[in-house]
Amino acid sequence: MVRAVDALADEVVKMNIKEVFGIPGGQIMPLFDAFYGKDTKIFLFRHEQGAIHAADAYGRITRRPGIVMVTSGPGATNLATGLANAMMDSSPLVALTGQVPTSVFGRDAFQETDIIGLSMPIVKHTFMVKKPDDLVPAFKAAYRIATDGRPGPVLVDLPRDVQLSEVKGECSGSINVNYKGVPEPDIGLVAYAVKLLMDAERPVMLVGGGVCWSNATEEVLAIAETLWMPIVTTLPGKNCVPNNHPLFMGPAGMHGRVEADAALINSDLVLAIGTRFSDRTVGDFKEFQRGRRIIHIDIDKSEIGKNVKPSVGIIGDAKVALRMMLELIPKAAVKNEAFVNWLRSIKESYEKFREQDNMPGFAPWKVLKVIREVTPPHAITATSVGSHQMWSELHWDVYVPGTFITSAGLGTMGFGLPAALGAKVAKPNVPVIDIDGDGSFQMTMQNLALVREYNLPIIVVIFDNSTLMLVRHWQMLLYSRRIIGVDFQANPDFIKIAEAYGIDGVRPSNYDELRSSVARAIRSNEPLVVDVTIDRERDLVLPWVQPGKWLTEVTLPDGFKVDLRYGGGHE
Amino acid sequence: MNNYKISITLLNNDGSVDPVVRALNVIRRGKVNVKSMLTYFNQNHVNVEVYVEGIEDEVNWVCNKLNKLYDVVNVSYSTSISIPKVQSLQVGERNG
Repeated sequence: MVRAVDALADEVVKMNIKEVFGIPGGQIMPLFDAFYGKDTKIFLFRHEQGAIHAADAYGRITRRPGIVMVTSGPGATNLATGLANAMMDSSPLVALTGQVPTSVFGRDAFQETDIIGLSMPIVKHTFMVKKPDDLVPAFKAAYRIATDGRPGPVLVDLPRDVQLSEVKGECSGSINVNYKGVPEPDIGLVAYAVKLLMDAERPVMLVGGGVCWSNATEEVLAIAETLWMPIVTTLPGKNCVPNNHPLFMGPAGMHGRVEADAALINSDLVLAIGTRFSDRTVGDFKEFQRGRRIIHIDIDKSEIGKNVKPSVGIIGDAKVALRMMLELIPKAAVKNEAFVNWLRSIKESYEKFREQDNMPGFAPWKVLKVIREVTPPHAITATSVGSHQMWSELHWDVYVPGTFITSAGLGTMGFGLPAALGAKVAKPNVPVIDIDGDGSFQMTMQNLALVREYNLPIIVVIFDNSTLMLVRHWQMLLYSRRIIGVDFQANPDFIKIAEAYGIDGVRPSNYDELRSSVARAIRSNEPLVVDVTIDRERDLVLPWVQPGKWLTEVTLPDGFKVDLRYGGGHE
Repeated sequence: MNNYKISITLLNNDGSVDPVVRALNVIRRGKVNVKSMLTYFNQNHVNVEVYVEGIEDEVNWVCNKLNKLYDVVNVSYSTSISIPKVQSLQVGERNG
């Protein structure tokens, strides 16, 4: 006979789970104890939110669920943001929460919280384990559910008495779960989609994060190249296509590239793959649907028709559906090169405009270009949430799909640093950079402690504008410049913060210093915090489309003019 | 706006109401008005009938969302002819 938690720890080792993230506390102590002397390494975070974001990023990089273990009550409730974040971005993880003993359930015992009730709407599934024999089967089911179909988080709540109860070797319980699997795409719908595609004059591909999970980059590029279709992405979709591909036009939408917006505006058909048509990408759903056909491929049936009604909705794995389409598309299909050339001319004129921009001090977009120059193509980049993230959406080039991690759906400030740590745990030999903001960084910066503790040499670049810039941006443009509650009057010295954690810090005074300090840290595999001072009065992230507006109403940077109507003089 | 009956068959996990609550969490995010609901616990399954008012697109979306849940075995909807009347309790009756 062994304790149920010992059986679980043995199972975790057997499943080749080498790393878990978390913070212990009274009700999860048995499980932590069960890992004593085991090969699975526990990464002790300084706040549960950090631990779960790390598990989230670990899952995105390894494509296996990250594991986070915390105690009951505040430990569990501190996971809420991370669970919602993983759910919104379809990231696989398993959260193991301690719980008070079953004998005191509902009695407001010390650190008792109904985490099952709290988390149900923001996870794929939950298990409340009441029988010791169910513990291991519940964990295995949770692990499987996390990557079943569309990935996401699963929570398993473990009362202390259940953890400590004895079971015979392997737990013999059984868990009732109706697994969903992935349906095969309907060949009739695929054929119809191809017919629509071949009839279109200006088809555009809209790539979402589902393309990464489906491993469908190759198929996306094959179709795009066969038809010479411009590729537009969502923010997570930016991670799924090499950004230096000639057909890549970048992310569209609120903080999208103007050539991507132009592609969507002038398209007569959109082939949307693995995207939920976020309001951030589309803006105005009615306008998006006006005058264009939409083919929507998604693994999740409930996404078809949720925000946008497609002409054809194909349910299934993107890779499989796209392969079926490729079989049906003639190899010598007609290519509309003029349309792509026009979009590329917009791209070039925007890049040229930026190059001529003489913003005093550091220009955020140029900071990114400089860092990118000295960063290997396969390096992993995490971002937090704020203007730095939107600049990254616009100007950070992802060369290797799967190397760009951001909090897209929930927009969680504080995501970047712990996500970078989780990514570094997953890929210790790959350089990892956290592009952060001073507002976001301060939300989870205590987790810098892990850098030296576990030798996780990440590079943190703080876009330090001493404000919550995106909110300030809206206050300036939507609230008549009534600036309130956003500017920081007394930020800490981030260099001293870095030093306090045993990490070198640098505040570059020019681009050369920035370039050399980042290059040196990458070369020597040393951690670094870079504090880049940015003038908040000049940090408006443009182009920008107001919430709820169609892409034609984009606000462009001062001095940059472009006609977004095809045939409007750029051909 | 029409009336619909959403029929859900859930796995019965030792009489736990969690599967029902999970289903309700989906329904409460749909743009439908719940008119009535009946729930029966059997040995292996929980059968839930939810009578709603709404447009068909929304009802369909709710059903698709419900179908994703891992304790949902089956879900369907039909046009509801009438909403069943459930005997209502008088105030104070529950104490007596």
